[in-house]
Amino acid sequence: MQQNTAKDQLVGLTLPDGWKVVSKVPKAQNQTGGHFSAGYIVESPDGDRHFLKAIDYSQALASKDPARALQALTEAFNLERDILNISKRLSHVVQVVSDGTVSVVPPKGTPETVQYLVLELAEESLRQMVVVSQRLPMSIGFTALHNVANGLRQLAGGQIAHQDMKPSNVLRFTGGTFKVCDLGRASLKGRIAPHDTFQIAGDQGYAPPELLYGQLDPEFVVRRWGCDAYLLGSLAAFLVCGVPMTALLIDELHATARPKVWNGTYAAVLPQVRSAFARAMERIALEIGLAVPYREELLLCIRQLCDPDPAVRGHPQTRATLAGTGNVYGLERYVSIFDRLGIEARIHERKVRQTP
Amino acid sequence: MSVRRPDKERRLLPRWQPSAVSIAQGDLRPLISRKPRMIEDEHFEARKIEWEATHSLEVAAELVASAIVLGRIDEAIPAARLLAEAASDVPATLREMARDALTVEPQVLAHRHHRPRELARHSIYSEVSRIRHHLTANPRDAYAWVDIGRLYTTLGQFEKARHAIDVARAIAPEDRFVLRAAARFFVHAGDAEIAERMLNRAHATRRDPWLMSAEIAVSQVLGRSPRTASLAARALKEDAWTPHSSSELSGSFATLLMEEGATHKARGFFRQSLRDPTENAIAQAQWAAGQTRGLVIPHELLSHPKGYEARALHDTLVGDWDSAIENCWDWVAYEPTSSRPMQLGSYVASVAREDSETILEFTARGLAAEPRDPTLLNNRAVGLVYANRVTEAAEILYGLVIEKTSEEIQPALYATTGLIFFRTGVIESGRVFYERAIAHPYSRRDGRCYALALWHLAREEVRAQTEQVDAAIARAEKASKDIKLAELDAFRERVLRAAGKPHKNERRVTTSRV
Repeated sequence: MQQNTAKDQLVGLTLPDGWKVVSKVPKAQNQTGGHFSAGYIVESPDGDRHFLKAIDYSQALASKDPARALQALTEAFNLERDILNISKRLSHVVQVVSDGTVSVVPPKGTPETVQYLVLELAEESLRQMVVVSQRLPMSIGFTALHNVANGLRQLAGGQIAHQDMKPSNVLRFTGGTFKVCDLGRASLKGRIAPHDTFQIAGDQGYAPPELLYGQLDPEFVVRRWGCDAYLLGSLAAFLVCGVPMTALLIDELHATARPKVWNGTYAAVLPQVRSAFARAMERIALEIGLAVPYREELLLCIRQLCDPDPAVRGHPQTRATLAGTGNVYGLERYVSIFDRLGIEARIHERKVRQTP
Repeated sequence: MSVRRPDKERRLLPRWQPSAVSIAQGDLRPLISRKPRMIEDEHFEARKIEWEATHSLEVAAELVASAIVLGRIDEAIPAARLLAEAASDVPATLREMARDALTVEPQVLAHRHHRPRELARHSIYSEVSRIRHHLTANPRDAYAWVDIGRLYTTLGQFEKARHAIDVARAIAPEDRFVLRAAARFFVHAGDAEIAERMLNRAHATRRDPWLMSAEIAVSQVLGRSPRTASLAARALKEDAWTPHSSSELSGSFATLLMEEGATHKARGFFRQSLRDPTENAIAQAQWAAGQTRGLVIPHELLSHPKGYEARALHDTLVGDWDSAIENCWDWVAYEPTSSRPMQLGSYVASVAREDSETILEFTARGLAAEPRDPTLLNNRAVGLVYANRVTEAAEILYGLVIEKTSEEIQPALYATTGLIFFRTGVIESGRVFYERAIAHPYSRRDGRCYALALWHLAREEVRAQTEQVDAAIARAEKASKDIKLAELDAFRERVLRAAGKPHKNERRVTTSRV
């Protein structure tokens, strides 16, 4: 990975709109991918701290096909900026505060332009919060799920599908609220995105099985919002057992039926995937334990949201009500369910703490 | 007289194994093999870098999860090892997943090797209960419906089994495993018509050799010409699929050709079926080797881990009775929904050994699943007579109307009735029934059946020390002169020994054609 390009040289600069770049955020700690971008902490003249995402195009020029790389980078940035602007005032999506360009002179070479977005600054990501050897209390887990479901629901209201919902893209802010971030792989209904041609827009390690097997539904609703519903369920599985649903599912599949070797259709492998899914759900059930009050309802939510068949995924009542007319993967019901389960989990945890 | 029905004719009907076993055996693989493809993912590369920098449990978990999804576990071995050896406060799922990743072969739900001489109903009921519970939570798991249907069939609860199979068909109407299991079930339940209709309706049957093979076998059961035969012939000639995928189709098609008298062509397709065979294809070829000359089954194929039926047929052919009976027991455990291992086992124990205990064990096991199977009822009656429980034997046959059973069983039922009369001292009536068996049109056509009936009559004459001993033996000797059948030799030797006559080295020892 090439370091010390223009986008890595912003510390100490004051941006045209007054933001002062304080420090660089080490990428490895909380981010994957995005080799063309770098993260910084910036400070406003009032002393408010925010996050800055900087992109420069010089690396695109060094790629094998500079024209295409440049085009893809520009389109991706513009789309993300547009989506963030559409998402303004959405309470559970990280807000863009400002955007602009700055000219930077790298140590060797001529001045280069770096484009940036200034975003809200979070305390930490859900990925950082989940420590493998220490379970996250489910009261916090349900708060995260409730907030993420709300964020995805709000995005869907603006005709946006996130498509890359994973623990590192869920940020916790002061007061314990969670918001979804990183709309770099989002799709806006009716607008072509550079990653629309990808089989999987987001992280393959979290992707729903139909996409891993190459079943790409032409309908935006099925392919994009169906993916978001799956990713929400997968996040719930991750909070319970530290593993996303996709890995659990593939682990339960026989080697001959895994996406890497399967060359039949998804419909042909679906009964095997469903059988593996049932076994994966049994593992999750074991992790939840028997004594928790929200056990059955949480399992049902994961089962509905992660159903390997997109045709039956999601809440059955939402599906029945909106079939053929709207987003059958609507998450409204899960927003309420996770909210209620969060309260149940808090009461349960308090009781456990009080038990001598 | 026991019935030699199992290897008289054999159709290459699909085996009905638990879904986990079928998957592990590779029966549900795609038809054309492909090299594993490399799945590129920038996130995975980033995780590898992060793992190198941190060696933390959190990054290990994420790296191993991604590696499993992408099929690149060899790039995450140290991370998997860290998780697998982690303390117990790490979630069990995570540790198990890491351990799975470290095993060279994927988890194979191996078939447990055991010999249940009696149907362990309690363990089947507990498995039924487990799957029912599973289905409450996962009602769309078609494979679980098939698995529970199999258990109900083993218990002889056909209505429940039919319901389970119908649900599975409704969920996955084009799935290979579901269709093959359903075809097997309907044939077993005496509804081969439904099996044929179901296979013909499925679009998958036109392109999947596993289903074509089932369609050919089911059509043969019904005595009709298979719809997919010409399609199969063309595809087999083009060698369109992997040898494993097409092995059962080659065997089915060869059986069809053999029935039509095209033995030479049939041998060619049997050989084609043995390139990378399923154990069912090996059993079919072994059966064919017993019916025709010139077909050689390589010895190493007979040692297939699950090749119980092939070995039982081979052992019967060469007269290795102990091994034949042991392999029949293994076959019972492997295919509990089929009555054929019980039929063959009880037949061998009866004709070659006169071992009443083994006959009764086999028939009790078989009748638990199929209480009205006339072959098993007949063989059980024979076992009871050998155990000096003649009254019970008579009670079993009392409910059977011989003329209403299938033609090939009738001579045996007449002979067994004759046996009961002989053992109760009513010798004249015994002779009458044995003569009915001998004169039966089926016995007239089938020299083996004819000779066996004559030898059974001779044995009873010897046992009763009648004046007709010499005449009966002479008649039986004449009938069996040109017949090479290991169990006939064993039976003849016993009768001659009992009669105090020379009995060794007079006939050519039967040897295997394989």
